[in-house]
Amino acid sequence: MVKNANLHLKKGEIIGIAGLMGSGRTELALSIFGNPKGYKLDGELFVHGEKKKFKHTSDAIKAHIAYVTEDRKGDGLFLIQDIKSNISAAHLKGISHKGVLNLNEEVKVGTDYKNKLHVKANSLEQIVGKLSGGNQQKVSLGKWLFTGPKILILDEPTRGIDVGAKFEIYTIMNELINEGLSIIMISSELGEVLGMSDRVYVMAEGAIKGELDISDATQESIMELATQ
Amino acid sequence: MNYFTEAKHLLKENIRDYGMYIALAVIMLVFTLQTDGLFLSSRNISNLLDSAGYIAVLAVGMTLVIVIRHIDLSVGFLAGFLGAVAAIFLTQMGVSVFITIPVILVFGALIGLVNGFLIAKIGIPAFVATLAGMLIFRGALLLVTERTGTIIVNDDGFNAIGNGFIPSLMEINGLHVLSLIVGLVGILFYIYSEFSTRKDKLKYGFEVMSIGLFITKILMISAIIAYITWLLAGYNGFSWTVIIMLGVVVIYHFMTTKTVLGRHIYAVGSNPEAAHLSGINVNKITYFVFGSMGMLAALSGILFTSRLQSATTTAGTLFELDAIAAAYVGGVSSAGGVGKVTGAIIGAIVMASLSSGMNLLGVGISYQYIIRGGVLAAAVIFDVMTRRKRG
Repeated sequence: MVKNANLHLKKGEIIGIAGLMGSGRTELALSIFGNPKGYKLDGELFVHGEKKKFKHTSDAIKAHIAYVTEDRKGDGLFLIQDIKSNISAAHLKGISHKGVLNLNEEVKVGTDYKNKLHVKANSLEQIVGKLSGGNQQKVSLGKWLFTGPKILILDEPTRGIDVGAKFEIYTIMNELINEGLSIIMISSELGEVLGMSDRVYVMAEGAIKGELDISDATQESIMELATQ
Repeated sequence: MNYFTEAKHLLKENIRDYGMYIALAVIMLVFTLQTDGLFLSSRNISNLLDSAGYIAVLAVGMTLVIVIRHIDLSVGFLAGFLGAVAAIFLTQMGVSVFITIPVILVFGALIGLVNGFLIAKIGIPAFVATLAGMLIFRGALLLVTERTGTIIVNDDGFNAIGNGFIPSLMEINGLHVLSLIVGLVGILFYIYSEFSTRKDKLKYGFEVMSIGLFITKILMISAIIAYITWLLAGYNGFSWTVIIMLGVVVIYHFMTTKTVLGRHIYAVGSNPEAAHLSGINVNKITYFVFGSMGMLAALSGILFTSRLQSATTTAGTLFELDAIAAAYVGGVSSAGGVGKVTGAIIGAIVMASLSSGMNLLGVGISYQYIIRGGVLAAAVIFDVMTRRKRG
C-alpha cells in the first residue's frame, strides 16, 4: 500500500528512492508504470506537463516510460529466449511493419545494443538464461532502452551482479542522463544512492517521508527518515 | 569451415528441430522395408495423410495452447458436436455448404473465446474449464443426435472435403497433372523464399550458410517435396484434406514465426509476468489462442464428418488426447514458450504413420496402443534430455 507519495523528476536527472525492504518503493514504481497489481490506484501523473492515465503497461511504454524490474529472472527477462528476441520484446513495433517482423532488423538492433552495453556473449542467439547476472541486467537494460524511454525506472539495478558489471551499469547510467534521459533509481544500497543521485527521496511504510538534496544527504540522514 | 564440419555443426545446433524429421524418416523407412515397399505406395501415403488431417489441425491449435502454458480438453467433443451441427445444417435445414462451413468455423471460434474468457478473466485453471467443456459438448453431441442417431450427409460438395481430390485436368502416364503443377509451384515458392532470405541477410552484411551447403539443403527439400508430389500424383493427386492441412500450416507457421502476434504468444508462454511488464496484453493473447483453437476444432469436426460422410454419436472421442500427443511428439514443451507449428504437423504424421504401418503389418490393436505410448514417452524424454544439455 502506497499513500501520500509525491515526487518530481527533471530532465537529465537521477533521483534515488531509498528505504527499507517493503517500504513500498517497487509498488510506487509499478503504479507509475501503469501496473497496479491488485490494488486501486488513485493519483495524478504528469509527463511533460501533460496529465497521463495508464490503463496498462503498454500505455506507459507509449508515453516513453520504461521500468527495469528488480527480479530480472522472475519478471524481467524471457530466460528461454535468445538475446535478440529479449531486446526487441518490449518494442516489436520498432522491428516490424504492419505486424510483420523484419528479422534482419532485429539482428541489427540486437547487435547495436549488445555492443553499446558491452554484453559478453558468443552470439545474439545465446539463451539469456545462460548469461551471468551482470550480462542479464545489461540485456534487460537494452530491452528497455530500445523502447526509446525518456523516463527510466531502475529497480535495484545492481543487485546480484559483480563489481565490474556494477561499474559498467553506473557508466551507462551517466551516459544516458547526458543523452537527456531522466532516471528514477530504487536502491537499497546507500552507497549507490549517495553516489549516483542528484536528489534522494526516502520511503517508509508506503509513504515518502522526505526529500533530500544530495548535498544534505548522508547515510545517517537517510536512515533516520527510513526508520522514523 | 569446410563443408562437412559446417553440416555437422548445423545438425548439432538444431538437433531438437531436426530430431523429429529424422524420427519420421526412420519410422517410414522401417515400415517400408518391413512391408516390401507397400507403406510408401501412393495409395497408402494418400490415405495416411487424409487420416492424419483432422488430428493435425487440432494439434496445430493445441501447440499454441500448450505454448501459453494451458491445455484444452474440450476440443475433441467440440469437434464432434460442431461436425454434427454441420450435418444438421446440411441435411435437415438445407443450408448450402458454402454458408455452413464459415458459420461452423465462427461458432468454433466463439466457443473458444468463451473458454479463453473463463481462463483469462475468471481465472479458472484451463484443465478444469475445458474439462467442463468436454462434458458439456459430449452431452450436446448426444442431444443433437438423439432423435436421429447417426446423421448421413449426402452433400457431395461437403463430402469432398474429407474424401475428394483436386481435379486432375489431365493425366500423363497415370500422373495427375494439376497435382504435379501444385507440387512444382510449391518447390519454386520454396526456392524463391530461401534465396530472397539469403539475399536480405547478405544485404545486411550478416553471415550466411556456405553456398555449397545452401544448395544441398535446397536440393534435399525440393527432392522431398517432389517425391511426395510424385507419390500423390500417382494415386488420385492432392486431396482437399491435404490442401487444407497445408493451408493451416502455412498460415500458422507464418503467424508464429514472422509476426508481432506470434512473438507475443511465445513471450506470454516463456514468462507471463515479463510479458505483461513488456506491454503485452496477456488476456488478449489467451483469448486469441483459445479462439483459434476453437476454430480449428470446428475445422477438425468438418473434416471428420466429411470423411465419414456422416455425424456419429461418438464423433470426437479422444481426439483431444491424440492432438495433445501429436503436439508433444512434435516438440512442444509444457513449461511454456517452446513449440512449433511445423512440429505439430510432423507429430500428427508420425502418429498416423505408426497406426498405418502397424495396421499393414497386422500388429494387434493392444500392441499398437503400447507402441504409440512408447513413442510419445520417447519423444518427451528426448525433448527433456536435449533441453538439459542446452541448459
